[in-house]
Order: sequence, then structure tokens, then C-alpha cells
Amino acid sequence: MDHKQTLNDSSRAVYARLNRRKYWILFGLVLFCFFACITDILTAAASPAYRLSTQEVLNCLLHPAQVSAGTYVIVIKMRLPIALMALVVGFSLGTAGATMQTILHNPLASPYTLGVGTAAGFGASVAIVLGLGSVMTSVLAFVFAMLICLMIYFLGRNNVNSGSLVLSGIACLFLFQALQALLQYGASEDQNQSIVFWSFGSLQRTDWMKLLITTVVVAVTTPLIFTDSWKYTALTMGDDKAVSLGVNVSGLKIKAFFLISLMAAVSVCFTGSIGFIGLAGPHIARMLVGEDQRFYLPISALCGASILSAASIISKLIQPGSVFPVGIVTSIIGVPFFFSLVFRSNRGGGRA
Amino acid sequence: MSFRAEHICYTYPKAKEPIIRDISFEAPDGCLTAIIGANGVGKSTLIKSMLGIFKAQGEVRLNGKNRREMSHQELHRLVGYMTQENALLTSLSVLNVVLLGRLGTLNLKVQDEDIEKAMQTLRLLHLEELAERPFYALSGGQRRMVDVAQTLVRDPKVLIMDEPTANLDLVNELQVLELVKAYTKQKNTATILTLHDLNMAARYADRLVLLKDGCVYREGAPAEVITEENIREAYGVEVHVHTSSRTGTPMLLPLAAVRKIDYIF
Repeated sequence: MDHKQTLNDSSRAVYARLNRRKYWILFGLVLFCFFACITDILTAAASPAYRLSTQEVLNCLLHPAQVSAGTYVIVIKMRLPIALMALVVGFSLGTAGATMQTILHNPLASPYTLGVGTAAGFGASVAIVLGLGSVMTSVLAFVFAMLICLMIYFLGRNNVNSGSLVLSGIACLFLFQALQALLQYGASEDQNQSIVFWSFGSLQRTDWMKLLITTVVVAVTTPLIFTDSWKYTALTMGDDKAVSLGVNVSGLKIKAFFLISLMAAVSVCFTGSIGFIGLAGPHIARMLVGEDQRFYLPISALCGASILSAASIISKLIQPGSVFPVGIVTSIIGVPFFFSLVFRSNRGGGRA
Repeated sequence: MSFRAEHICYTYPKAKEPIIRDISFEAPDGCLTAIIGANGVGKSTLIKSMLGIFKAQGEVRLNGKNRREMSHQELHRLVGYMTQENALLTSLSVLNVVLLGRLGTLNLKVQDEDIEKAMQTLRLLHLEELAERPFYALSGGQRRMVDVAQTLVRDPKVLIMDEPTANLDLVNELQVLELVKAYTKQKNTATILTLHDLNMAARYADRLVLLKDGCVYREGAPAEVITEENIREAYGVEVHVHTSSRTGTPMLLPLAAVRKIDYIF
């Protein structure tokens, strides 16, 4: 750093220089999400009979009233909500994971590693075994996902500021895994197959109603989290520091935990457990922009959206004519990619 | 803004005995008050109790106004508090770390005024060259100086610093104390420090508050508090005290611990 230059700069210029790169990354990710979403809609999932040309799809998106009924159904009723759901769920899981890692000071924390996905899976299994239908499957998945969050919170609440929340999360994870195994042990073969298929994680069950519910929840909770960005940034310096800076630490953590629970639960209850995003999105974001939560939180969210959207595209390409469960894709393709990033940044001296 | 603590009493949860029994003292404007006492006597606990971080009994008054009648924001605006605990090593830039000191006024889009003030504070401490460096890349002394900047950046009327010189080498220690002293005189703040280096406390503080057994044992000017008898009682150490011909403040030379330890090697 040329120090003469620093001295002559106005303070605003120094600050702008600090953030310029971060704004570009933010902009780049928004662009990536947009194009991934379009590609997702263009990519044919089902058998060749439903294959549409790029021209037809774009036409349908821009002038839905002028296309044939068949095209309208394929694009507007099927592909569009799925593509948007990939973005919304990815965004939601990315935000939830990032916030969780910040409040727990733990890079291993994510809705999935603390058992939210497992609990949702158990709720869905109960509905499947009792034959309650698809609406109740989502409802029960949501209820149990919220339930595990409450359990984690009440078990760990005496010491919100230590590792006890992470521990109680992992304990609850094992509990629900065991319960799920018990349920499967007693279930019929057909039910077992449904349970397994649900737990793969898939976007194909999406319709406009589910998309609307998820979007509303995410649209309400996200601003509540993002507006506290500076407080979360203070938290990254340690809980004691945050207190001395005037943050009500327990209050902030309780609020965050509630919002995260809501986001994670509503995401997994419609899609099944999609594990990898809540962990990887925040990590990639941290590598890109560091701990400044004003950038870290939205970039985690956009990374999550990008990953799930890309996974959704890939899931249609793996096996022509059918859709591979997206939860499997995120993990199998995502994990090696993630490792390469982590190891490369370690070799580079851990620039954050 | 004058600061007054009245009958502070605090017992840790699950502890039988209170650690702070009954402490009252006053920190006047433009005056540097140092709280001293042996390890574990409750210096940090006292500070956290006074600030309401621990739910303690007793009252704290700022210019006569009870702390309990103030909002969280109001208290935070008036009082700058620097913890003894070091911050976690974050990748935040130094400028952002300092900006966090103005958390009460920060918007998502940072105002020019906040940035200007943060840079000004960094210049005051000769840290402006570090502004863009990540916090984790600093040395221990630089981090402590950045902590000081973070505490001063919101122009507090009462300055409370818990061991501001811990882990600092001689140059940095003197720099921090000189700066805090000058700041106290210029801005007329009521400044309260805890210090473990008694010579430094005697040299820089206007008033000393010596704690023992959860109470104020002695209080007053350094020459009244730093005496051979007081130090023996409060610290259990035999010392020789003389008045420095250069600074005119009491200087203390530790001789031996009163409570002898049998060394068996």
C-alpha cells in the first residue's frame, strides 16, 4: 500500500475502495442467478415430446397470452415455478446458513447439520406412513422442522453464547434419525420408497402455491435479518465485544434463531432435505468478501441461489428424459467443487 | 460528565459470597480515575456491574441521572467501554472495525460523517495507514490500539477501559496512557481505567481506587493510596515506595511476597 496515496485520499475514497470489489461480486452473482434461471427454464426436463425451442420458451415468457395451451402449461405451470423455487430455496438456505454460522461462531453450523432437514424428513415420513396426502406431508415436515428448532433452542438456551446450541442441534439430529429409522422399520415397502424419495430432495413437487408461500416467508424474514447486518458484524468480533459495542446479544440471537428456523423449515418442507447449500453458500461468500455482514449475508444468499439453480439445470441433463433428485446433485457435484475452493484458498495463505 | 457509583453489590450466579460487597466511588470530569487491586478482586466485575452487563444491585449516576432511567441507546452513546477481552480475529478491515464503535448511528449505507469520524480517530492514533488492512493481520499491540480507536470514535462523555494496556509493550503502553490522559483533559471526560501496573497507575491517574475484599480499601491521590502499608494489605506484597524525582509520583519496588511459598523442586 502506497501510504502517501492513503494520506491524500479523502476518507470516503478509502471506504469506497474497500467496497468496490464487493459490489461487483454482488452484481455478478445477481446476473449469474438471472441467467441460471433462464437456462433452467430453457432446459428440457421431460421426454422429447415436451421439448421446446428457445424461441418458443422466450415467447411464452414475454407474451404468455399468445402461445398454445400446451406450451403455456409446460413453461408457466411447470418450468417457471421450479426454476424460481430453486432460486428462492437456495437464497433462503444460504441466508439461514450464513446467519447461523455468524450467531453460533461456528463454520459447521447450517440448517442441515443441526438437523432441520432430518426433522422435516421425519415429519414427512409420518405423513407418508399414515397416508395423509401431499399437503399434510409438507405441513408435518414444516411442523417438525420448527419443532427441532424449538428443541435446540430450549435445550441450549441457558447458554446461548456458547457451543451448547450446536451440541443440542447435533443431539436432536441423532434423535430424529433414530425415530426415522424406527418408522421405516415398521413401514411397508411402498411407503419406504416414498420416504426415501422424499428425503432425496427435489424441486419437481413445486407449484405456484408452494412457491408463493416460500417467497412470502423469505421476503418477510430476509429484510429483518439484513437490516441487522451491522449488529451481526459486531458479533463476529466476539460476544463480549458486541456487548461493549451496545448490541443486545441474547436478544439478537433469539430473533435470528427464530427467523432462521422459519426460513429453513419452509424451504425444506416443500423440497425435502437439500443439504449442502446452507454450508457451502456461506463459505464461498466468506472467501469472496470476508466477514462484513452487509455483503456476506446477501452474497451467501445469492451463492445459495446460484448453486441450487445450477444444480437444478444439471439434474435435468444427467439422465435424458427424467429429472435426477436435486439434493443428490448438489452434494455429489458440489462437494468436490467446494473442496477444491477450500484447498485452493488454504494454499493461497487463507486470504479472507 | 461526572460518573458516580453507589453501593454496587454483585454476586455471581451460584456463588455463595458476593464478589463485590459494597462499592461506591466517584469519577469527576476531566479526571483519570484508575481502579487497582489484586487479581480476582473484581475489577472487571465491577465495571460490568456498573454498565448493567451484570445485573447488580446499587445505582450508577451520570451527571446525577440514574443509569436505570436511560435507554440502552442513550447509555451507549454517552459511555465508551473497552473490554479486557480481545476481539476475535476477523477479516474485517480496520476501518470497519473502528466504524463498529459508532454502531448506534450506522446505517446500511454508511454516512460520510461516520467514515470521516472513523478516519479522524485513526489519524489521531497514527493508525491511518492500517485503515484498509484486515484486522487479523495486525500485531497484538496494533489490535489494542484499534480497540482504543473503536472506543473513542463515538466521542464518549464517560470513558471506561478495562486493562487498556494489557499485552502492550512499553512504547504502546505509554502511547495509550498518554493519549487517554490527553483525551480526558481536552474533552473533559470522566475516565475510569483498570490497571495492573501500579507504577503506571501512579504516574498517569489523578485518582486511585484501591479494592480489597469486594470493598473500596483506599481512595484518593496516588501519593495517598500507594503506600507500603496499603500495598501490603491489598496485595500481600512487601514493597518499597519512594517518590520519583522526575515525575513527583510514588514509585514502587516490589521486594517479596508476604505469604511465603515453600519452593520444593
